[in-house]
Amino acid sequence: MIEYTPKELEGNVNVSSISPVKDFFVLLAGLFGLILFIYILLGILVDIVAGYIPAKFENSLGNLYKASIVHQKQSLEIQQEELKIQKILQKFEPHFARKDLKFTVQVIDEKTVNAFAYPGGHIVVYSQLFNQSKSENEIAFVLAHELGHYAGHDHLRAAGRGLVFVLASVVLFGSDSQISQFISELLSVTHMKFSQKQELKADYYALDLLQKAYGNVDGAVEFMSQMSDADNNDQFTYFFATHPYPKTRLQLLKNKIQDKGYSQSNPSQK
Amino acid sequence: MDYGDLIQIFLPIVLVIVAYFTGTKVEAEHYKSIIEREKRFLNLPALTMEFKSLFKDAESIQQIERAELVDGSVVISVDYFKHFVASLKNFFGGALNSYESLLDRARREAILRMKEKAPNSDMIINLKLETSSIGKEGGSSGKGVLTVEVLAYGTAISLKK
Repeated sequence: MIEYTPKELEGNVNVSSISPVKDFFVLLAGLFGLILFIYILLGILVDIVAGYIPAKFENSLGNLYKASIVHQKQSLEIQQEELKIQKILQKFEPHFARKDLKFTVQVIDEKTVNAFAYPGGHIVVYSQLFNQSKSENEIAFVLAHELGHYAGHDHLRAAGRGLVFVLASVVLFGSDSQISQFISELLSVTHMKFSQKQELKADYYALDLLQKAYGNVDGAVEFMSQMSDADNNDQFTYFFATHPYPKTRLQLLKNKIQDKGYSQSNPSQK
Repeated sequence: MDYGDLIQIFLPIVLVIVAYFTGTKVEAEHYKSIIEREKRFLNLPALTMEFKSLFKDAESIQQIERAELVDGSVVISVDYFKHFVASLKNFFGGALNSYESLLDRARREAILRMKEKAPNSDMIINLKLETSSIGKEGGSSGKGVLTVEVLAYGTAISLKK
């Protein structure tokens, strides 16, 4: 028989001595940097392409979206509100650069102060906006803001970026991966920053349009003051929001009005 | 966006941090126990040698008092942190360092359990180690349970005194 002498083994070759924490940070930073690079690169590409997409394509995109919006039976009141909006839009028309879009307006009876626009020139306004606003100018500002999104092809840009991002993360990590979820949440901050920039651009565009069509920018500050007064959310939460913090937005609007020398009929009130 | 969405963003981060600290503690305690038990069983060698190469002639076979099958198995699960690091590594490729200590623990634990089944024998020969994964489905997405079983088995030999 073979002799056996017990001996303890020292060290462990089967386990690497690399710190898992260091591994974690290096990998995460590398991956996030890579994805961010792809996102920004494709984002720029989308921005370039969006300007060249014909209105026909935008319309068919809008029709797809149209199906998902509630269509309710319209009361007389709602119809009148829609007419009002049409009239405001007519005032804007000579000053609006994109002649390839035909606007349709829909008013939805709901207790939210909101309006949105989707591809193909479809503008949706919630009726609460009419109850709250004190003047036509306020509604005009909201509409001009939505027109600003059309002028910048913002819908296509945002949709394109969303599409690019989903595609990239699915191709890289699979559709149901924990990592792609995590990275997409990290990236959403970048995404929101982009969205907030779009909103401000639309605000500035709206000021310009108001000045041209109405000769003053009264509605802008009035509307935004109301919005920021009604807002109870913490400023911090707006870091992850599609829209900028209302108080910041109001201040930026005021600054812009001063810079550009837009006229206000009763600035003493503000 | 409200606080609910914020929670959705920060929850994985919190989980990774918590899992790192709990995982490290559990691992340190396990290694302490493994090393302590390995010392206790230092006199019971587990060999991969086959029967024939150890007991060549009739005389040596005569020395055997008992021979029996012994086995030990352990099922281990990956913690959230290790899994996260591994999924990150999955993209770049390379050695999955974060799983190494886990499997090392499992192998040593399985061998120790096998030895604990035959504490009075003189040696365990023909040692084999087998690994199989359980509940692999959905494991990579983080939703299923990612576990591995390590099974150690061999023949425990007791010699006549």
